[in-house]
Amino acid sequence: MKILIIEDELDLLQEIKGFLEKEGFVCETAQDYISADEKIWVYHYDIAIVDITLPGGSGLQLIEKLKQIHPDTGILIVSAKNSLDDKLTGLDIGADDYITKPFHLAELNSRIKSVLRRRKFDGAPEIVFNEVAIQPEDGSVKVNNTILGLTKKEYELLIFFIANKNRLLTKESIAEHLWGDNIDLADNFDFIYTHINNLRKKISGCGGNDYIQTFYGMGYKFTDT
Amino acid sequence: MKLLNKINIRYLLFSLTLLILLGLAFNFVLFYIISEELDEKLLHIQKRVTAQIINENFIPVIKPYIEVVEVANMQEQVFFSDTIIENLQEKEGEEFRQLTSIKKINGKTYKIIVRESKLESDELFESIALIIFLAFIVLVLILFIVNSQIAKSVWLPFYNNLKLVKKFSLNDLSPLRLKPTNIKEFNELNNVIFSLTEKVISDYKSVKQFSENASHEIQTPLTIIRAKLESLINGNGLNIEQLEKVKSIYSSVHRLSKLNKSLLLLTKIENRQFSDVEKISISKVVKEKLSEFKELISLKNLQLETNLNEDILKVMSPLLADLLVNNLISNSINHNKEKGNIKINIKGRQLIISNSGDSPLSNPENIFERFYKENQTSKSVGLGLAIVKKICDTYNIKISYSFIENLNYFTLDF
Repeated sequence: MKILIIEDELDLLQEIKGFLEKEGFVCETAQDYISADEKIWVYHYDIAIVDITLPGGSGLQLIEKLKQIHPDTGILIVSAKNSLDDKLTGLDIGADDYITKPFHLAELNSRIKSVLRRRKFDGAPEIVFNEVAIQPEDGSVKVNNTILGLTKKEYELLIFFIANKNRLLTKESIAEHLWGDNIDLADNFDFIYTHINNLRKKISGCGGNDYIQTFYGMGYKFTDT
Repeated sequence: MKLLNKINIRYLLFSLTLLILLGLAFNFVLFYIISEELDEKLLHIQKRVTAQIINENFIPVIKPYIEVVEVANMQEQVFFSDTIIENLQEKEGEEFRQLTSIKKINGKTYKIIVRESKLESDELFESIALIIFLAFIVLVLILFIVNSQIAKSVWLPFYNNLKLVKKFSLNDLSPLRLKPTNIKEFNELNNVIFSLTEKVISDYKSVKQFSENASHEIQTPLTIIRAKLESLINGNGLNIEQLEKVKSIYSSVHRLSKLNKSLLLLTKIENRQFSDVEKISISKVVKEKLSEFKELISLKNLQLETNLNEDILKVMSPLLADLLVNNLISNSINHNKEKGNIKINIKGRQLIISNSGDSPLSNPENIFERFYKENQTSKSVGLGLAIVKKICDTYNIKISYSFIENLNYFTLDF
């Protein structure tokens, strides 16, 4: 899978690139409008991550071009402005998703994977992790072929974990993923623990392994190693 | 006190004083003139009586007006005096002015007393004084009314412009252009107000622009810090102590980014950047939010009671409606006590959210202020209710807080 990252902040660009490469993506980068424009014309990418404010032009224009040349490329907008107008325009002209700075890399990763699922596999690939199988089409989860009755939040949590498997996910990033960034529950992360415990119990109840490791005070890791 | 009233009262007081002073002076003059007149008349009569005695040797007597008596030899003299004479019919004293003169006529000495009733002159004096007094009052009244009318029409543009100034709001972002008048002073004032508001608005705009830009510019470095910390946490090179420190930096960055997002949000609400409105069913929003908070409410063992049979429809931004309800419910969860209550009712145009609490707030009037925290150790950012208030202000929703019988009440009047 090939990803083009268009971001003018070098530090952030490298961080995103490093993260995604560990996830097994092939990444190319562009730091301004002109070099991004060139790359769009020459190569074909599965996903483009586009920062709206770029030196030399607007990310929105790039998206319009990209839509004409390679309509099958998935597009994820990254913006410092949490402005509804930008978001709507971006989604109107064909972007798949929109993420606002400051974001968690795990969140970005999960969004990229969900865009890929929708684009590359017509929205219905089975997500399999050992004995856990998820059907995103109807939101059903099977462990050892037994259907798990998960709540909406537990389901979202599981998807988020599997998208970021083998990574330590901080409580903050999990909370933001599940409840959005408007929720102000800074001093209470107990509820994440409750959700995770429930998820654990449900998976092991069907004979599944406990893949969720707790890192005390930090967060959780979904891993089979 | 209104300027016009003040002027009118001054004017009236001044006129009244003037009226009294003039009245007194006039009284005095009139009294003097009438007495002079009376004395002259008496002198005249006395001369005629004297002439009659000299020429015709006839002594006229008309009591009590003319009395002539022969007296022993005396020095000739003339003097005026006031006297009271009993009126036989009315048995009442009547005031008279009398002129007593001792005259030697044809070798005899006569005492001639000429009298004139003062009743008539008093009556004359009174009626003249009354006429003049009335005339004065009418004059003052007319002047007062005319003055008021003139003042009213002269000050009219001032009051009209005052109304415009009262309506002035920084959010309109246009300086006050007041209606021109033909009065130089008012026009000068208008010009000053225009340039003043122009300056205020441009300052306000630049301050707002600055805070918005600053907030936006902070987002990118925050993302970088956060990404780097996440990769540090995920790496294996840190010992426990270092990891603890990274963790603490990470949660501070988390707080900072939340704070920044909330401030940006407040600025945007203030700037009215949420212009996409639709008809929102408040009860539907409450139900949606409650299902999102379901787990959290049961985790804290809170008792939830709702009465959402009625509904409020409000034209507003769906995003802000969501935020409004979100912040109110999360506030009622965060500031609740173990096994406490949350009640949410919709009644008429009112949404009432209440939650258990131990004691009333020490500064309830500050509850909607930015960064207000009842409990300083709380890690919450302290902007949730400020955002609620700002949204309410934007849509003219009246919000009030009260503490009754260990319950914190938030009442929203749509």
